[in-house]
Amino acid sequence: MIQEKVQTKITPDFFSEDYFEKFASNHSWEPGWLADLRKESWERLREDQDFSLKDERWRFSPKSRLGYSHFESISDSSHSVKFNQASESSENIWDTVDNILLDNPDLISDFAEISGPNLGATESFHLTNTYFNNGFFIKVSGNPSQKLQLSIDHTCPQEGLVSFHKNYVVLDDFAEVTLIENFISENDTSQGGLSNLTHFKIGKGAKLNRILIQNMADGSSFHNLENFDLHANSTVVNVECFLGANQSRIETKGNLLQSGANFENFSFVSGRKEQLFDQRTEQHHLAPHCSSNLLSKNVLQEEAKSIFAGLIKVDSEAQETNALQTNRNLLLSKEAEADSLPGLEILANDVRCTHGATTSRLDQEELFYLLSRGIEKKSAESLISLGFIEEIIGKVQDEDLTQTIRDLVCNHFK
Amino acid sequence: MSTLKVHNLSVNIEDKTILNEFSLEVPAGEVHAIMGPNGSGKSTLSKALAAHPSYDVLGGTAELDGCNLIGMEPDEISRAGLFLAFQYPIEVPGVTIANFIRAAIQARMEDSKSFKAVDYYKELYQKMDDLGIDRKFTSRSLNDGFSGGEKKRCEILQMAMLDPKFCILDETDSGLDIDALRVVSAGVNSMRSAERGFLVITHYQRLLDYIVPDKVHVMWEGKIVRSGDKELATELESKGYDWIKEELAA
Repeated sequence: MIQEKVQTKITPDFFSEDYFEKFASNHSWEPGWLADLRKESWERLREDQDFSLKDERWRFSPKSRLGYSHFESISDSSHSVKFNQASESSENIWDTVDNILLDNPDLISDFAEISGPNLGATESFHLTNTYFNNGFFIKVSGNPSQKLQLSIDHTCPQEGLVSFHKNYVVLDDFAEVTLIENFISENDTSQGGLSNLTHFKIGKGAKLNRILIQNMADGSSFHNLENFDLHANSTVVNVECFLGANQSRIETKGNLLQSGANFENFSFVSGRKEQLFDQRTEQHHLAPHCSSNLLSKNVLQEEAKSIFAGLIKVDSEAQETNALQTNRNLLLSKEAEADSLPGLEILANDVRCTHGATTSRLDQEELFYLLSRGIEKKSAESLISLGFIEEIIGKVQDEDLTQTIRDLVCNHFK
Repeated sequence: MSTLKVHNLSVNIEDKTILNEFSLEVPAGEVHAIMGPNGSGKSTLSKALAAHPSYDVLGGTAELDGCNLIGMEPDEISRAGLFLAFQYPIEVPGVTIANFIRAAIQARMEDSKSFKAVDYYKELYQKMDDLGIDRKFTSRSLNDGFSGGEKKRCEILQMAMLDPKFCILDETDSGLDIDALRVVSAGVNSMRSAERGFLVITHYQRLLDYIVPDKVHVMWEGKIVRSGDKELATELESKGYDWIKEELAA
């Protein structure tokens, strides 16, 4: 059923020149730099339409499921981003992109030229830059006495519609913030698409603790592209939990730009039915004395499929790099599939880099042990799976939130 | 009153017959020990009764309180009241002892929502104290990185928390030092009652000094070949299994 829906090819009106002209006209109030960005992105989108089928960045991916041909139009995204929790602070700025563009567009203009993770999802990147009509902007000051926590909901639109969100997170030098992003559907019929593009600029000595939870409705599509720029001695701990949507393309890139930066990227997938999670990552070391650690764990039931392609890239200047990358997959059915493509590209000669990937099926002795205590099979699988990804959940330093995540995973086993 | 009656049980593993028309009855309130050399089928008996999927039951019955366990799923057998303390407890990374035992208890409740966490932890901590298990273990992953003694204590903790009708202890003494053996045995002895039966599988008489059995059976090539009281274990310890082998050959 899901396959049929995905394969129904239509030409969305947002691919037409007329649609873009009309969109641009409706946004004529926006500053000139933004109009230029949209126009340039639109042109790049049209130029890049002829994607090579042998693009390594799409290896193992059923690309047709991750395109935009099954959307009819763009959603009015005016209420699709909501700040639902923020600690008090007078020195920091946060708001929806819409409001920032109305009140203080110069805040965003510095980021007009920023590139995306550029790990293959060119269409998503250009479409989002062309048509984004919501998102958020956060700028955190470097006052160490203020540890800001923000929680934001991104809501998926109805079936046939797609929302484009573009977000900016700026941490001034020595700023600290915890950012929680929930990607949700209001109800079971919210089966549209959500394309999300985020730039993180992490100042010197700043600390970002970011948690992403994607639990959108069955049938929906999720594209998430994010680019972290880390400056000297900054730290990012990024924890991503992927549970929902029928198909997800996730691209995460950490650029360790200056000495002493530390990028930690943890994620899990809990997949079932025919869900597809296509995850591409890059840890790009451009400066010496930086460290990065990536751990991706996927649990797949039924006919779910995951793809992990991760690259550690170390430039010749990035001596004394310490970089790790691990992907572990647990398959709970014969039909589930996990493809893994770990990669290293090292140009420096004094580095410590390790990478590894494993895929295993449910250990029958482990299962028997739990069954022998009276725990039913589905509950036993749920417990073992939760145990498998606990290493990721444990990175979330908020007890209520960790319990919420565990409950969401358990719901996948009912 | 929980009696275990095994009648003519035959079990294969990978097409090799290990138990051959094995029969045994352990009345409620009694502790029976099974001893026997390696490969005699002791662990096969325990795994087959718990319905391990690698063991094929070819025939026979195993009744607990009149309910035939053969053909039931492992979780159903457990909920029917049979507890197997493993010889080699399995490590389950990421699953804490507290959550594991909680899941097992909730699986036995008609309405799992009626579970009362405060009462549960009170009981859990009490039993951990009794078994000399540090309370910090509740948040440790099940058997993950545990010493042999810690694993066996954890098995007895599970047994105590689940309050089964009948317990099988499969070489619980292996890997235990004297102090741990005393503690584990005390835990088992505290659960002895007129209603509950025990089947203790061991190689050594030493365990039976602490858990004194009502009967001792000697197993050989998948069958009980001799039964007696505790003195039989002492005799085995001094004479070795060759003594039985020679008697059987005669």
